Amino acid sequence: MKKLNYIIVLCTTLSLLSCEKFLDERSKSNLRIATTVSDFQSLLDNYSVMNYMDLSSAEMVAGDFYLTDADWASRAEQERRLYLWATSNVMDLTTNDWINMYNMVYRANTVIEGTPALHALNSVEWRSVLGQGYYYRAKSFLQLLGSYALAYDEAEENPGIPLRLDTDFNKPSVRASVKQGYQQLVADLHKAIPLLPVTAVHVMRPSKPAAHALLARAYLMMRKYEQAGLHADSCLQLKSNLIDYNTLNLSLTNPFVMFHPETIHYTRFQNPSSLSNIRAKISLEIINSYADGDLRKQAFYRLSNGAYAQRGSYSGETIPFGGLATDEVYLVRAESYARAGRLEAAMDDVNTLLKMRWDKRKSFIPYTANTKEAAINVVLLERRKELTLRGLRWSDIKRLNKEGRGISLSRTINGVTYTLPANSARFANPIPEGVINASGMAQNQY
Amino acid sequence: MAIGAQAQLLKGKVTADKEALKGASILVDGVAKAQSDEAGLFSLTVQKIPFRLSIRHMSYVPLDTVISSLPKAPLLLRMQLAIAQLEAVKISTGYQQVSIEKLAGSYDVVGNERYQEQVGANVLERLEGVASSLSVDRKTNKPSINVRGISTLNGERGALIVVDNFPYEGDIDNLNPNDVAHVTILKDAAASSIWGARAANGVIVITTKRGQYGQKVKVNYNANVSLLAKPDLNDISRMSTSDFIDMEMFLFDKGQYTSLENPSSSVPLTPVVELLIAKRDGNISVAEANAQIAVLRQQNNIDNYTDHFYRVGVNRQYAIGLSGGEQKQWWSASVGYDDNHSNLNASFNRLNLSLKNGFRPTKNLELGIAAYYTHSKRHSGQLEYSQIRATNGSLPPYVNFVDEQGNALAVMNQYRAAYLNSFSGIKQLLDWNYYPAEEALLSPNTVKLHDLMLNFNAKYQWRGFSAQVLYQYGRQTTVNEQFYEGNSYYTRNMINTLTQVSGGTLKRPIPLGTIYDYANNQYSRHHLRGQLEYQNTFGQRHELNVFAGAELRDEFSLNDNFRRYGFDKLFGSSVSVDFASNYPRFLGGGSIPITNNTNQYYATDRYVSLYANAGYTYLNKYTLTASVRRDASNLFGLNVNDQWNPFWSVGASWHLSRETFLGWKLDDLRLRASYGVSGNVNPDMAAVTTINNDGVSVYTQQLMTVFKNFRNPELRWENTYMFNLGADFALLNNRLTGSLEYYHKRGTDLFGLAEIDATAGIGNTMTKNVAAMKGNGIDLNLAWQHRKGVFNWRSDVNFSMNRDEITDYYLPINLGNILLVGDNRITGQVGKPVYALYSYRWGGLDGQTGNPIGFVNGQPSNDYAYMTANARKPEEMVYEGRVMPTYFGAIGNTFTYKGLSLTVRLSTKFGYFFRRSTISYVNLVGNRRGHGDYALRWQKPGDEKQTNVPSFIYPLSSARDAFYEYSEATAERGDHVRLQYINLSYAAFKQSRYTSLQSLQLFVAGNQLGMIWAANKHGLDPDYPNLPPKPIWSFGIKGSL
Repeated sequence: MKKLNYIIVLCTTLSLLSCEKFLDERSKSNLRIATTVSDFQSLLDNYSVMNYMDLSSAEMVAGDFYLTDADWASRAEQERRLYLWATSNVMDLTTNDWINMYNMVYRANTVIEGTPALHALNSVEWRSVLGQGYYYRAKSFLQLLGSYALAYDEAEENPGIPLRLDTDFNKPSVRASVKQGYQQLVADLHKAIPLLPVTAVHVMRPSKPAAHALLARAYLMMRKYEQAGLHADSCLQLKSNLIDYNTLNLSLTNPFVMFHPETIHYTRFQNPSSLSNIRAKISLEIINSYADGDLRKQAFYRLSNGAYAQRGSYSGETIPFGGLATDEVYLVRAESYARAGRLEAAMDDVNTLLKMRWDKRKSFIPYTANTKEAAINVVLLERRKELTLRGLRWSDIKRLNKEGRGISLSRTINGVTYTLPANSARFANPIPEGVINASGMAQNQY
Repeated sequence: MAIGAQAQLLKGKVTADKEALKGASILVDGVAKAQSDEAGLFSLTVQKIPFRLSIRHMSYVPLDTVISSLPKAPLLLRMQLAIAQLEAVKISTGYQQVSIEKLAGSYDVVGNERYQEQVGANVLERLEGVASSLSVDRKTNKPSINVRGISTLNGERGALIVVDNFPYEGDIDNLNPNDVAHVTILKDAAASSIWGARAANGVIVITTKRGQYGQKVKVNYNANVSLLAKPDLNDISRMSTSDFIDMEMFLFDKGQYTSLENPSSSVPLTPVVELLIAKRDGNISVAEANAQIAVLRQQNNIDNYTDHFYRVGVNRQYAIGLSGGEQKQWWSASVGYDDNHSNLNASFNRLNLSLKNGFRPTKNLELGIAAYYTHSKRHSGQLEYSQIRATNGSLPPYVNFVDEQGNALAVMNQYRAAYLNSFSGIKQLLDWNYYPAEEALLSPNTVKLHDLMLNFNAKYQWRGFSAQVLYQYGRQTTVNEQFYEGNSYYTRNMINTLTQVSGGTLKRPIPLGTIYDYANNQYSRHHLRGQLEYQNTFGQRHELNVFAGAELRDEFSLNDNFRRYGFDKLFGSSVSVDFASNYPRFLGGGSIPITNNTNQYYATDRYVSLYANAGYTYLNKYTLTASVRRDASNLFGLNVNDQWNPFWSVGASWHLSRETFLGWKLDDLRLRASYGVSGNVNPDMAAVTTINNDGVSVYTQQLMTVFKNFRNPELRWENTYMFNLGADFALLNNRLTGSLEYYHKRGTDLFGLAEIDATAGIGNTMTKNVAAMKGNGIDLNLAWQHRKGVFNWRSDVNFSMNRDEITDYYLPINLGNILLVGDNRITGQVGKPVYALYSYRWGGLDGQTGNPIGFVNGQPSNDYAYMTANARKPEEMVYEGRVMPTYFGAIGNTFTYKGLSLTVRLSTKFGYFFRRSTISYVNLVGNRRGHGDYALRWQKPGDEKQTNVPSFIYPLSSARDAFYEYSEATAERGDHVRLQYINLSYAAFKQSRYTSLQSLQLFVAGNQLGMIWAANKHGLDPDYPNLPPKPIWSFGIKGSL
């Protein structure tokens, strides 16, 4: 009888053990938990989520382009409203910049939370993927603050964006101040710089120069010009290629190829129909600012039906480029020098850039500046001419108005002129209503 | 024959197996008169002679005899144990064959005769409108069958299908409907809880035909042909060609297309817009343009399509089944062949073979083996009308596909004709035009399937004990081949897109010739079940049946896909291409890689289950049942605690008509009650965040992934508690039989999509346990038989009522417009149905502008953006009613006169609402999706009295469109009555001793006969939101030898 008991116990235990083993089999070969460095890298390498989703709502409301009455009328209702700076119902309910950007933040947070567990490796790949996590979180926060918040100001406590720093989606969203937002992204980029490699496998992946360039851009928007210059310089120490536009085939539909040498980190806008080059007409103010011999007018734009449209985007596609390229970094360093009173250094940077833009057959007269103000004006003018439709103008207007430049915007549709006065509260786009309702956060006040 | 006027005494003795049988009921002309005593003896008085004497005992074969003269000696009546006979009375739950009266749960049985009244290749299609409590949901692409409504819309939606004791996971199209012997539907928790978690939406148990021990050889055969009428595309409301052209001319004047005329724009423009451009630019004369437009106004591609694409579909079906048996074995074999050709000339061929054998080598041991083999082949046909589109929307109604000579015409597709013409000088490019009438023929798709299923079972019986082992092995191979021939648009477009021409040299990264996609799916399963059973009767009073078992299930599937370029069918050769590089696109700029389509992945699903069931019957009258089951699976990412979830049920039944204290003249009455718990797991219930492959990046040459599930520790099992009360009865000499059931259902932690803050970074909705509900319902089944000489009438009615409401909603809801998508989303209003239809309050049209009028805070308003924004409170919406039918049922009548038999079946659904489609100006202008309501739009003051369709304004307002689309103006009652099918048959041959032919029947059947009444005034069929099907008429013979 005792023997029988033993047998029963043994059999039961065995069957339970084997049962557990039976159920331990992984159910799907293509489904897994992110555990390895390459798993985390695979989340960030998904370019349709990470690289092709740049925020376009800031460019939509800035003044680099305009729509004809007919084209405006043919756009979706929310796009029409956004174009005229309406204070509500300006974003699609199911797909919009807010959702895309925070999806990126969630991916970045997954990487930031998950990779430290693999710290023992301390490999180049591990450092890189963690650095990319910080980089992407900072990049998303910077684009969100640029669209949905007012300019950075040391002295103000304006509402910014929720700073989601982990993957717990049950936590409520709370809007941090603009200042806290910039502090967070600056801190993230400082963490990213030492982790990232000097050269990435591909410009679709962030690198050390990309992190410097992004930090330079962020400091510029914060009007911390000295730090902006330092990081622009650090970037250019590592990557400073410029294309000589004389070598471009200007007869092509788009003279720029994808991933051309100036590209530091390749990202582009999430396809916005108003910004498509068959509709978006470039402001004459920009077109008229190019001097004879400046190849940019021909490389960037095409004249059709009496208006100019972009043809040569740095993306190599019809969709505008929102990433980082060396031309921007030269101009950031130039502005930093100019504001620091280093006029010659500032003009050197501008001239270095412009020489590469100038028709070899025409004579190039280098810029000179006698005053700080003149130097700054030169840099800002070149910034507009070089960085059209790059997603920067809206943030530039906001920070320049903080410098007292009083830039206001106006658009005319069907004979009615709509004006956005300088320093208006409407320089922050309204947060999508669905998000406000689901989270209970406060909407921007107008 | 003497007719005795006075009462006479009849004495008799009932025996079984040479022993006296106690407790048998003695009926005279159907009226219970006496019961046999301990010695098997009875006596009773009879009033008239002759009379029909019936002996009934539930364990024995009923005995009926006509007594025309009273015997002198006591009548000796020998009863046979009801083994063979019980097969017919017993039902299958998939775990046991049991007499229905030993069960307390709720079951519906569809017998062979009823089942075979319809014709069709699909096994499940015939159940609609035939079985009560069963409804088909066609709101999604793939219709799903549900029993007693839907518990939840997430996860596995349909009912679990069980074929010959094992769940069937293969393609349901593999089964041969002529093999079906009967179908049992398990409706309540007591019935279905034995099937565990997958029974949440009901269980349908299909039992196939088999031979019997000691049965003579029997042959059944069946051949039929069905004709499928051409669908009528005008059954969907469409905009007239003339209206469409007027709209295009209006938009042209407004500059809608101006930006698209840009030379760098490749977006295709319609023929009318191109004519208007040419007219404006003076490229053709005004008169010429107007004349051409006038010609287009006369065209409608519905006629063109119907003439050239549709044909009358023909389905042929042949089946033959043989069975027989001897004392120690039985066998059966069947062959079925189906040959279907659809309206679009797609074909489906299927061969079914089955072989079954059972034998008893010794008295106690029974062995069985069965093999089923299916081979089928599908071949694609022409394109559906709705599949012929341009990349930027539908085609205008005047665009024809075939010219008068029968030649395929090029139609707009991806690029503007003028844009393509600018490259026409480059001779190396292939023709870049799209010819829809040829495209499907040049890109054929075939699916070949082999399915083999082997069942083994061994059962050893010893006294009351039995031990049984069942094993099933299944293997299915599916090969899907898609060819895009070299002259198909698909291939030409691909080759051209990457062609590089510089100077005189040409480079084609994609070679000329056929593109070939191959997909192979290998699926195999092992299913092992061991079951111990004890069944005994103690002292004639107590009957016990207990069984317990364990199951293992292992399913494995392997998918293997690849693509070949420059494929040569004959040699099987192809040209290798470089998938790793990016190539510049010939048009539109940018560069892209060559599509690879090569991948391989596998999935392993494993389940372990333990179950037990007990039934106890006292005095043949009182029954108690209980069952319990636990399941575990390797479902990825489940917490260990969640892997095992118990389900249980208890039940009781009382065979009231067997009580002697009742003086009722009921033939049969049985009361039942049961209570049970079932549950549903959600695939999103992951304890970890999981990622899924998303291809390889051509840039970094590394794998890319997407999130599949997000770690969501808050998700719990959804539980359903069901209480069921039922009565089964037979009245009036068994002429009226039926059942009436009442059930009460309570669900907690229902899964639903919840709106979440998109800032969290995982989108704007996620699955949560959102609500609790309660529901109740009634199922009524009645069958009436009337015989009067050569005329017979059989009638059956089934009727169901199903109501539910939300009792608790766990989330705060202030998102009014979410209520509008009630079709597939729990609407979450306490006291309202789980799935409800809501509308914006409708205030008619403004008499001056034709703008729709809505309400804000009770005041008329036209702030559509605000009214349709999701900030609105649910109280501001109008509740219309349920989305699922409250009442549904069917009535079938069969009239038989001699050999002629006519069956007519009507079905109905009542008490629900649906949203009808209407014109959306955003869709019309954006992607040319028109609607006939356009003609009814408000155009001038006064129109608001006749119409609810708002005026056409420009610029468009999506909010205004959405307000009208989801307003009270477009909510309709779903109530309707449908002619489900009719069947006229003639028994041409009757059994006779001169021939082995036993029966021969000719029949005509009509299916999908459409509605005969609908509550909505638009003639819309609420069951078919898209194109309603046309009738299918079938002709055939069936018989047996």
